[in-house]
Amino acid sequence: MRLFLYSLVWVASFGTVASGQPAPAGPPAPAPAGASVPAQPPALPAPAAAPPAPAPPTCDGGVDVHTIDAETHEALPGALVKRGAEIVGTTDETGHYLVTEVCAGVLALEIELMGYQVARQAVAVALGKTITLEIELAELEEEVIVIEDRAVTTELRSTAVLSGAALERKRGRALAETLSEVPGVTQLRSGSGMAKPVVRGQYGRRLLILVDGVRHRSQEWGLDHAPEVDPFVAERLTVVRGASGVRYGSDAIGGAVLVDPPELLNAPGARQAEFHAIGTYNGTGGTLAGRVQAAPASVRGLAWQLQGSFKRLAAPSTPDYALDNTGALEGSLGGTLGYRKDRSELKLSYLRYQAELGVCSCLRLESSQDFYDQLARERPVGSESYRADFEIERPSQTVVHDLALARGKWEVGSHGTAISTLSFQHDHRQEYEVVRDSVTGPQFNFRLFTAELEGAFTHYPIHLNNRLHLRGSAGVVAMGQLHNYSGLPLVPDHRSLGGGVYALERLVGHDFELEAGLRYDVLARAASIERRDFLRLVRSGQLSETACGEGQDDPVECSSVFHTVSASLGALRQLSAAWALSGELSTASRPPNPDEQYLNGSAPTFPVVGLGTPNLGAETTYSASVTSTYKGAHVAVEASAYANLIDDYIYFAPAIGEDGLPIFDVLIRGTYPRFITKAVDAVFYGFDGGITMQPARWLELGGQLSLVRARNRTDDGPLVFVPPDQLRGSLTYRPPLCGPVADSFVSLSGSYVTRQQDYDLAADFAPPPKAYFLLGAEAGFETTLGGYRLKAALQGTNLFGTRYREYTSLMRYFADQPGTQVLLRLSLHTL
Amino acid sequence: MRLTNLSLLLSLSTWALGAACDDGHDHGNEGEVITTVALTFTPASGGPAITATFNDPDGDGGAAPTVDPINLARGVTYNTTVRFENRLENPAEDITLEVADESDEHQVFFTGTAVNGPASNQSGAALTHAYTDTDAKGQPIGLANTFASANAAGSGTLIVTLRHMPPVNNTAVKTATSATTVRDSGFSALGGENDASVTFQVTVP
Repeated sequence: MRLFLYSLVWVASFGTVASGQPAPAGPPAPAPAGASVPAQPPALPAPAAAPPAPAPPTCDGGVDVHTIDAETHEALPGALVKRGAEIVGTTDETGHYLVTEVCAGVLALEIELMGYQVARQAVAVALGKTITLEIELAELEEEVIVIEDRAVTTELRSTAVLSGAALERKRGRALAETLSEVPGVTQLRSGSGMAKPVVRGQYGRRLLILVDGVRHRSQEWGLDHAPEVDPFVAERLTVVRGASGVRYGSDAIGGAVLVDPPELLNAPGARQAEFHAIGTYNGTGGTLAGRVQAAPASVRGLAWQLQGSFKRLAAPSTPDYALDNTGALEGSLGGTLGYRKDRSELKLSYLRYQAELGVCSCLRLESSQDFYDQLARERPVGSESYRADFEIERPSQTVVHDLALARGKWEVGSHGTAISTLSFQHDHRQEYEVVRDSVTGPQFNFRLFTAELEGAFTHYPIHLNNRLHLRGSAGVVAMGQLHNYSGLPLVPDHRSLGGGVYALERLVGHDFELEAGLRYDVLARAASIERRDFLRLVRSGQLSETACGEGQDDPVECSSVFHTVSASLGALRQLSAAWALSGELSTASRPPNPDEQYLNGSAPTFPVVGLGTPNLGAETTYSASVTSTYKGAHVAVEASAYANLIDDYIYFAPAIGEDGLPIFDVLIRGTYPRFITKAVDAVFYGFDGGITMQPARWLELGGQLSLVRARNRTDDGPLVFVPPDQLRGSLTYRPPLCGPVADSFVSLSGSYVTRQQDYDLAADFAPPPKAYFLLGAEAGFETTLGGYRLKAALQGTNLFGTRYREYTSLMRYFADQPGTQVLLRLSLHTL
Repeated sequence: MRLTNLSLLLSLSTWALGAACDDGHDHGNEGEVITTVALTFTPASGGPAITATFNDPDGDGGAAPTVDPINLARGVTYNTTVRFENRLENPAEDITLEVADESDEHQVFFTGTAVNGPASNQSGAALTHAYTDTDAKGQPIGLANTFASANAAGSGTLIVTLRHMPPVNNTAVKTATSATTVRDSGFSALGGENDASVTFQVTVP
């Protein structure tokens, strides 16, 4: 019934011609679903200033029609615009259509769109003027109504979405690699060849990953800890570049990656299935994945989904030798059950990811001098006996990640919708070093439990006047976390409790949007440090003996509380139908992670002794970005420039003694430089952009550029692991349709990565690798097979077999990157 | 006060969950730790043994390790044994036995300015090293050795390195020429990883 309140509330605006009165809020006479609604008489004063004069010879008036959804206020493209009975056109992507050559007087318009009630509107037009008319379309009433998940509209930050065909072309690759061709995104590779995504130079702790709307909680701090996320879970991957603290959590300093599974089906009796088979050469092996979904007709409102994948890859080879022991065994399994009734719904979901990853035999932890000596080697010692096989031996990692969630959505009176999510995550990571035979277990064993409860309320659009409305949401989050660690001295156990409140409000006008958001978070953490480890921190000068109380407890309990505030202001201006400009100012703060506070041991990935700084405060970013998008008929461009000032940036860097020289620690395994986490002031700025052009129906050209610059403002030095500049270009040829084969394509792509010129040898260990160029090619087609759409593609990467090393890879100190790799992808989707 | 309340809440929540899941600290069970390297020099012709220990009882980081200086007499041949321990365990764990058990993939190398021998090319150095033990393949292990001191005064460093060299894809990494590789090209040219590498100061007065 509430639907009617919003149905056909026609709002007409006369621009400067006449002041528009909002239509009466009362519901018009109810009409049966799907039936035409009688045209509403114009609830408007007659054009006051223009008494009907003798008709002039020309008709040069115009009406800029803007169709929007009555409920969500999203623009509605593809709506049919009729002048009386004559079809004059359809609305474009932004919901606009310009009716031209209108004579003075009253013009009757009719708007039709599948799934919506027909809207009829009469409008008074004056000569020589184009007036703007916003028309809200109300959805047809159905028995099962879907509350849109993504209530919030356009993202004012620079975002990129991978879905559909673009995502299909990335199937079979790990998460970071899937995203790596998005402008502004690079990868930070670990010793297993797995990688974590880097967005505008930020990764790990500063880049949130949300799986089905839930923050992925894992050991994201370790450089060699790739995210435990199977990209097959996603139907849509979104990269939000830039600080997004208000919406996603105060520590989203670098941005967010949203991994969204498909919505449950809602039409009773609907079924959908997709299957993927991917074979790989060089990294021999393959992936099998599938998803089935159904909404049984027998129980209205019920829907389910099952998804799974399995991957087994042998170690790949560089052009000269195998990357011994970098095979992977990976799998995921998930199930979702949903029930919708009226305007409420409940969803239960469980997802497990499991992987066993080998770490390259070439990765050896040496004392400083030996480490530096081996950097000079062309190829790893003993690489003649390296093999590209499936076997995974020590060193290796096993990870298990479970996510269980329950989510409810319901309507709160006529005010809006509420969504509440309760989630549990379990992350278990075990790392196995090369040891003597008598040792059987892992050397590093991390277990993290997280429980989270979130509630969000999205109010229905509030109409301020006929041109402006407000949309917004507010929410609360609560989190409890428990960390258990056993193994070689490294990080302590800890418990955390956290909570936050936020509100985001957006003023949406005809061609502009303004957004403001505010968030407050609190995090309390108690680390439980073994007395022995505690005393080490004391002796190393990182902590005073009484910092965590006077007692002699073992373990020592060290607690800290962090209050953080995030705020954002954003604006978007639609300069023309094709061209939009948006800008954003924001601040966000990230409390230090437990490892940054209490790390204590030799790092498993670097030849350094790592020490945390227990009294670190939160780091705070102040960021600004400007994004411009142009979406024309043949050209689409997105360009974005940004700057982030980060105060008290928590940075893991060489410890400098009072004499101004780096500190070295003598360990049983030799002499290692001491690295500590310290707060420095940093700045990151840069540019990323992409362009696609379709000069002809059969040709598509693409280009992307990512530039990141970063400085340590405290000593005006460089920062480590800042991705070098990347330039990509692609050319796709789409031959005309040929028999049953559709959507065939052949594409060539090249990427050029420069050498990082800005580096600090003391923190980087070795000079950055040379610039390189990689060539890739792909060909594919689609056809119909039975009741399925069959897609097939053959893809090759590094076709020249270029020998190269990546600056943002732990592997770069030891070995080259893989040579030519080939993938064959087959997939079936129900029609 | 709010802070205190939160901390209190946190302490109270040393949760049922926490108690249930806490599998305790297992430092030591991972087993790879060596804290102590002890050398025992026994004159071949008899007499009291001289011992020197590199000891880092709290493991990596924290307190700096202690290293005993080595003072040897001129012109004496010493039977020298090496012992590795993990003193984080109580009682201390003797790692030497495990090294002996896996002697086909372990070797102790002696380098430094005070050493001339299979792994160190320092003619005229204060000490001359020779291996006296062998593994099943007849390759040296380095748990038992002889060090002959020079007839003249001298001093320098003695670096004791325990290298773990497990086979890669069934190809042995430890070979009869491993010491030669270290002597000619350094450890970076040798497969495997260091389990220990400690430096002593040697003086022959």
